[in-house]
Amino acid sequence: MPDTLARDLMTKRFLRISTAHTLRETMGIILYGEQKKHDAGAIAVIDQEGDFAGIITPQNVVLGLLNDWTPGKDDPQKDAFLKSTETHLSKTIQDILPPKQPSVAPDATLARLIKLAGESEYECIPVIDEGRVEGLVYQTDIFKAAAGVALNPETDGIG
Amino acid sequence: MELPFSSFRFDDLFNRLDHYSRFSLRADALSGLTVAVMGVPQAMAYALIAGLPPVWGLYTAMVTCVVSAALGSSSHLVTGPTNAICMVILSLTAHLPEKYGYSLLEIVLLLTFLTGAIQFLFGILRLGGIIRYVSHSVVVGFTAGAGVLIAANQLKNLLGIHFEERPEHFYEVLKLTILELPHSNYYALILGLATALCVVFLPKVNARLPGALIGIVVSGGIAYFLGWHLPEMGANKVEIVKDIEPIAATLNLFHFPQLIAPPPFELTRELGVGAIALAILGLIEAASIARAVAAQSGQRLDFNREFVGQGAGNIVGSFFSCFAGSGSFTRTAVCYKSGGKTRMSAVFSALWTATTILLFAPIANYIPKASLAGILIIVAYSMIDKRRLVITWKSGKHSRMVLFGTLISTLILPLEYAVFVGVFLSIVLLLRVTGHTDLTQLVQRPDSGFDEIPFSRAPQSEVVTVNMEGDLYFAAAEDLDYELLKCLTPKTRVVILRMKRLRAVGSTAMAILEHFDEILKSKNMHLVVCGIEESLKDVMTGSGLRRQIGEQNLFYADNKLFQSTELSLARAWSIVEMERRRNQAASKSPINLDTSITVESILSRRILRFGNQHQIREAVWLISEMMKHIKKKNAQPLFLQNTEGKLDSELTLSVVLKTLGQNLRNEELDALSDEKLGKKLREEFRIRINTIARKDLPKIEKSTRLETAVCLLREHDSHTLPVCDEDGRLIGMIAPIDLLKGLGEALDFNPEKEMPNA
Repeated sequence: MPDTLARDLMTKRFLRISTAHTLRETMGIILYGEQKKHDAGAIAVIDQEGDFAGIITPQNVVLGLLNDWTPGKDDPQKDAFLKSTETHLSKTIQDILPPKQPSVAPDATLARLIKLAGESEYECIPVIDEGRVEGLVYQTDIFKAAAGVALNPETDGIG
Repeated sequence: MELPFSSFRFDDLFNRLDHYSRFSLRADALSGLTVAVMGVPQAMAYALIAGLPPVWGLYTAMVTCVVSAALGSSSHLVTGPTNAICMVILSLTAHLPEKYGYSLLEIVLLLTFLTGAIQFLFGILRLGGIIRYVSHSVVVGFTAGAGVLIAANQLKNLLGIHFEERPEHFYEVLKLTILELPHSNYYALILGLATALCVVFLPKVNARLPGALIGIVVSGGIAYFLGWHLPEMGANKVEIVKDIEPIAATLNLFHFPQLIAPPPFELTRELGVGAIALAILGLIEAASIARAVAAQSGQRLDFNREFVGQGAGNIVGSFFSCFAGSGSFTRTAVCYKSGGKTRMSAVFSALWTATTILLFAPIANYIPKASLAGILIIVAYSMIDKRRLVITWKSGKHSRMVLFGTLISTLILPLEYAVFVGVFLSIVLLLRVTGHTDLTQLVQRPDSGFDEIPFSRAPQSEVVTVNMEGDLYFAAAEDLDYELLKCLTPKTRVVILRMKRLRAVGSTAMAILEHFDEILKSKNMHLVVCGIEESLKDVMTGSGLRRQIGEQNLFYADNKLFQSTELSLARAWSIVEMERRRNQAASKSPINLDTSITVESILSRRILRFGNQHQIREAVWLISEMMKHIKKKNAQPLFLQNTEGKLDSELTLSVVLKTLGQNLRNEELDALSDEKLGKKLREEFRIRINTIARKDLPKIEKSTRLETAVCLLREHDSHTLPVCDEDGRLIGMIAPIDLLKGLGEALDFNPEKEMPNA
């Protein structure tokens, strides 16, 4: 039987925000909030009904602010860029929410998590139980666990 | 003016109803039931605090609760009777029936209406932000004081004694209670203590047991079956709910408050002040509770809408025999913890309460008054938040003054004034300039020490060193600007501000630095700052001030006395020297004023690098070894270098995991033991990493601009950007969080302002 499950790997303390938060507020939370200490880089999004809606990362926020801005020929571009960015600050999390990524139940096996993490560059995989996010399994934790079962502490090293 | 709920649309409503009934209905109904089980005894007991019939508490837990939930903003806030509010209601109204000859109930309804109207007005006028300025110490102090009062007032109910006359003050209540002690009714005392024991110990046996409910059922049962409530008991008869006002199994609640149209002038004037206090207290309570829950649920709150909800709840409540209510801390917490999802769970709690009245009214009538008092004594004890009191005591003399000023005024003043005292104290202390910010000039002695000299006596010099000392609040900031200017003489070229001994709120210090820097620049002078503490440094980074003043002009506090001052002096004199030379050269070249943020200022130099000739096994070993030293959870890739040390490719954790798991079959995913899984993964260990690493990496250098880096992140669809020098050697990387920091800086974000309220 499998020994390591999603339940054992997940982080239970993580940041949640609502779909109604603006990108400006989200930046405030990421840069100056509690998150700063963990620098975990993944935030669970909760919709208006209180249900789990997805995961956003600083990358989603950066790309949401950039939107479709492209550098023109004229220099300096900095002002045009900042102007464009500023207009997108009032967008909400709902506007930039990426399509729902896979999630797992608390009893998902390590093997399943490895398969999922290999599918795409997910920062983390949410663990859902009865519609609630119980925790987040970060890619780094999956990697650590995979390395833990695969490596042989005595013989492995750089040879 | 836009009303807070003007965005209402019907088709939207039906869509949401459909969605709602599928997902949240059951959760809300269940959590509503849990809230009601806990809330019914509480509501009845709280009515007793206010000196009102217990059934009114139930009405308030229904009508006010539904209206406030329907119009409010928080998904979990449960409005209804609360202990502190009830204590204020008692203090406001108890003496009025004698004075004016109206019935107590009508007076309370008028008060409820006035309170609601004031709260509604607060919401409509969008004054939600004001609540932020009321210090938390006020809430802690007031609640503790109200707890003491409630305990003192309930002792008589617990002991089953009666007073001949109505005591005015807290100490009179205590005195009368002690005098009447010999007349205690031991039957009542037994019931009260039994209930209190249930409230304290049952939840310890199992956290899901509703202690208060079981307590009143058990003690009520004892009293009923032993006949303690019967008139035959004489002086030892135990008072029950029926004796105060019987609860009828009907829901015919509507009652037009007679004093509203038209309100008697004298009474309204006397109640008005109290209504303002009650309105403010209610809003502070509701807002701080809603905020505490939102911090856990992640909901975004609209305080103005919350105020409208609270106000409407009380206004409507005054037509349905309700007294003023507010957010209840315990019931709100239970609502969230028991899985409530939307505002409907509060509505459900009201429906369950109504059901209780219809089904159990005949039984509820036999609940002994002493049992409710037993519950209240425990509630009162828990209102005195010992841990918070200690923390606040330790957190400085201002919080201490606010906290104990409020606490003491609850005990000696009429309770409504205690609210004002608390609010007043916190506002005064917020605005007050405590002590002074002392400004002196530091003048270097020949033996390299420093003298502190008043501005007027300091010698003229190119470099002026100002020592700032004391506490600084924002109201003093403008004066300080003016004071600072006095140090300037015609000779001055550079001003050094020493901030080491300044205790100031980050944003205040920031505002001064920013403004002073602008003034000096306009006079073509320079600013150097030294003695910057760690906390201030963080704020400066966020606000972009470090760039405005220039890193070379900033010196951070050190353990060694005057070290950063010495360094800043050296810098100041070199500025003077440079200017002198430039003036001599007299050839003015245009200065490059490009302030773009480049990759250099945001890149992180801690990266994982490795040769590209290795096998996966070695890469996995290296990364897992490195991870033992990194606390951060975000995934960093391994950057691979070729034999010349130039960046070759990038290996992400995801690609490694994909390769390791490529031969895991779907049907075995749930069956492999860790040992067998490890064996499967090891099968791929010999694959060379340069066959799986990503090679098409973007080219970024230190001088690359922020906007270019952001565009590259989008085009390359990658999580990190490697940064190289001109020779293609790796020097660092940029993660999305670094880009966000850069954007924050470019957009002049101020950390103190950007954090949302909730």
